[in-house]
Amino acid sequence: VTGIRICLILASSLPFSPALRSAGPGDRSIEYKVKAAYICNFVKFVKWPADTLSRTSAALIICSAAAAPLGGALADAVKDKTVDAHPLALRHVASESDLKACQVLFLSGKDPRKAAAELARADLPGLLTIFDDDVPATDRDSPMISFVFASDRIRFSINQQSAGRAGLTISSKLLSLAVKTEAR
Amino acid sequence: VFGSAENKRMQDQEVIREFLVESHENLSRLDQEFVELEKHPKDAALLASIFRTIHTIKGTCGFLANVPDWQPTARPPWHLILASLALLACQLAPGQTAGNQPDDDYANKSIEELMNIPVNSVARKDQKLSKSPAAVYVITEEAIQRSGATIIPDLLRAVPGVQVAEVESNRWAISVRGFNGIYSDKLLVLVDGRTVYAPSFSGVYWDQLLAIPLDTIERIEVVRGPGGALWGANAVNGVINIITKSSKESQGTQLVIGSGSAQTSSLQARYGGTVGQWGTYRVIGQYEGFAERPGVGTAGPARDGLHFGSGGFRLDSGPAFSSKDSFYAEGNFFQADAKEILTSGATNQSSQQPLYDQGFDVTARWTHKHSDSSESSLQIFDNHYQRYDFGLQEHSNTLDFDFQNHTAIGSRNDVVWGANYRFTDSSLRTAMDPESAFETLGYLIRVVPVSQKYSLFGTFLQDEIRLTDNLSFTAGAKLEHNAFSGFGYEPNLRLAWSNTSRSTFWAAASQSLRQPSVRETALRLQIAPITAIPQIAIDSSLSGNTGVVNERVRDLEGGYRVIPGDRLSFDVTGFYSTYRDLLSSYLDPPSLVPQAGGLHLTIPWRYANGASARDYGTEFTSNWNVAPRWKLTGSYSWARSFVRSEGDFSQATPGPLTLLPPAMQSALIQGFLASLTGNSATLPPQHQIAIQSFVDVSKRLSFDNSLYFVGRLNIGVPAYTRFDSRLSYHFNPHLEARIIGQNLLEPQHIEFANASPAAVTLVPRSVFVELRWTF
Repeated sequence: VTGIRICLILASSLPFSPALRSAGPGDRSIEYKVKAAYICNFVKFVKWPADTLSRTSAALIICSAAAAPLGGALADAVKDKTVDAHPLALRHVASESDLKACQVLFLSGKDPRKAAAELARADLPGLLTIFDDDVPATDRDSPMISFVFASDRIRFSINQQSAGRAGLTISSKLLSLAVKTEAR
Repeated sequence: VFGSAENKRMQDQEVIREFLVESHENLSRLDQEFVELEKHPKDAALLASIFRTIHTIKGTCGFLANVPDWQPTARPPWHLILASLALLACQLAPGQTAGNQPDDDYANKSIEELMNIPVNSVARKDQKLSKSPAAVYVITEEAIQRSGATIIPDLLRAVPGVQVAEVESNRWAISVRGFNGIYSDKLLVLVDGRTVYAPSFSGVYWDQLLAIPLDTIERIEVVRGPGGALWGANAVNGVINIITKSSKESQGTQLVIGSGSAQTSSLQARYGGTVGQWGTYRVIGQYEGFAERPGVGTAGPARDGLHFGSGGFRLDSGPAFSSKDSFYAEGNFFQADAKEILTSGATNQSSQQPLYDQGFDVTARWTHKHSDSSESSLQIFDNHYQRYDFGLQEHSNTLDFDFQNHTAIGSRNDVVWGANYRFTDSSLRTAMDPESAFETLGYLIRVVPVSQKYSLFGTFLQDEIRLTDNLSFTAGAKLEHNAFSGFGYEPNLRLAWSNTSRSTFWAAASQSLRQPSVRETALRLQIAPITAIPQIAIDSSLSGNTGVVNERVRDLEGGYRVIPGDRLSFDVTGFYSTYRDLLSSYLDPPSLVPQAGGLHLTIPWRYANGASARDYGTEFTSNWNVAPRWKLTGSYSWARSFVRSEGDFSQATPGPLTLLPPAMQSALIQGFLASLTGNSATLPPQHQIAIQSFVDVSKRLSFDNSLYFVGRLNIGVPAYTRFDSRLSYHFNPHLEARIIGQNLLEPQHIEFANASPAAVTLVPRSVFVELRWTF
């Protein structure tokens, strides 16, 4: 009960949250943290084919072309996280051959261009592709989930068709929250 | 009895609160369980658990039926909705440590919560701008609110390469990279795509922009250097693009009341609402009063106090309007009233005149998205004003159509093209009697009335080509036709190389033009000193010249931008510009001929493309987020400028003029006439510095300071340092108080000269207090 009271008081002072105010031009740390949290959330709503994530305690590996994607925020976010008993892990990949161990591929416009262009074309079964909103259109080989920026909020869109091709099932809950869902 | 009833009510409230907490927890659990069920549809235990949870919620609901305050069937459960919203808000406020979560524990938030976290869009736009091959500076919404400025001209002081001088409390001289004057004709100012331009004098009346309250501005983009290839005529030295917020961003009611020593009163009321499902709107009304100031070189005040009233609206379509089309319209009307004291060095007389300015504008823009890679927009604006200043009455009506299309062709080409048409109806005459002359300052002035209707049309094409992943090349040109000087061609070439995502080198070569104005082509002004010398009839005139051509600048620029870390960014630019065919007024050889009863002295001034100039300089900007609550920005500009004028007799006083008293000689040469030529020979200061510091002392209190140094001007204005400070305190989310101190370092200083016949006033130290109430 006191919790609610504190919340009400705090909620009333929402506009003055220093963390929001201090985020000036150039400071994208909040954006990165939000995106990292999204990625950790997405995996909860995706069902991988039985052969890709068979062992119950096997790690669910998120791969990225950058050493510290999202300015290190993704590394912080996956730390000590488990989804369905699978501990989350982050791995740095440079070429398509490294992708075999990955369940998730996250690409950002800030990734080294050459590696990103190669990875973006990867079309492996059981690989969930998540692209940042700044990935150049030329690299966009139908990502399953794309971040979208709308009215100062980060949202996401889902391409169910390409997810289906990779043998992934995306929960209807996630589909319902997506900006636009290209299903067929 | 009352006491116990109150007691009962309190207990009931407690019960409701507990119910809310418990239900919220149960709903979260249900959320999780449903997701699980989707994955394992045959899990009977899970299904049973879901049933149990729903049953619990139902049970506690029944319990609430005994609480008299709670009638869930009779009215919407506001308590529940409000409390849920508060809870949600609580979890969203990253700085708040509700539920003992760490400061920014985004990782444990649900998707719904993440979807509602606002993310600074300015940072993103900066990111995009950081790759643009031009010298761009963005005044962010934060800087607009926190720089201690209460008017648009003061905001521009922070931008490197921009010269801002307050001439009087109702008059400013603003330019980019030099050529400053009260009619700065080499700068293009846009408000939401609408050109703010006085066709008679080819300048900007900055008092008209008071109609845009700072609260409604989303950002101001300042592009230094030629922008003619995209924006057309007059974007010679720079473009100032003021972008106002969508009405969606200013919903609700806001009242602002303020008072101070220089800005004596400020009243503002704003309301934003929705138009059903269609979209949103806002309406604004305001009054601003500015005190009169001490004049330079005069004992008394300059009577330059300004009363300004305005109203405006903006209408924006929402997503429900159409998924492919969006529409917006905005309009403003304003009235400015002041007085001015005109002085003349020759006759040592001064006269007080009214100064007024009134008008309205309407802009509408429709944007259609053909596909993900193609978009078109059509914009129409109408701008009307009439202004009485310097004894002249000016009417202007401008109707403008602008079409643009943006299409990505293939994966490497990004093409923007467009066409525009503008019709202007402009007239200039003496206010009292259009046919004859009026007397002021010991002169008899006769203006041959000018009334002109003319068209401007243009078309442009620009292609940004991604040569490699790191290298992009932009080529563009605008072809424009105007009634005074015919066709003009404004090309530009730009190259950008980003070796990493955090640094960009760029270089550009461009040519821009300035079309002549009504004043320079058609005006005819005759001035005769009344205090005539016996036997000499003086006939001095300034004539527009239909033979003038466009002014032209060719410019080479280069720059480097780097973001070494998320907290630090640097931007450095260098430029070299050559100007040809600059318009100025020239004195043709005066003639002295005998006539009946004495001598007739003719002093013929006319406009001609006789001057050229060479400018070079560098501009540097840095942003540094020193600590989460402290942000510093700094800029430095260095510039050198050399103007050369040919065929100008005014440098050596020609023979016949020596017959006149020396004071009158100089007045005729430099005084009244020179003032109407625009004084474009004001060079930029060699050094200019701006430093701004924004500090959040606590979540309620912020303390912001701005320091500006402007070097000595060639027109006899000494260097000055201006210091503005601002303190803001939020009593609650609805009420904010601001105390602003401007020019705190010295009691007063002068920022401009050479604005004759207008007076130049001293900029005083001032204090301003403001209360803002939002609900």
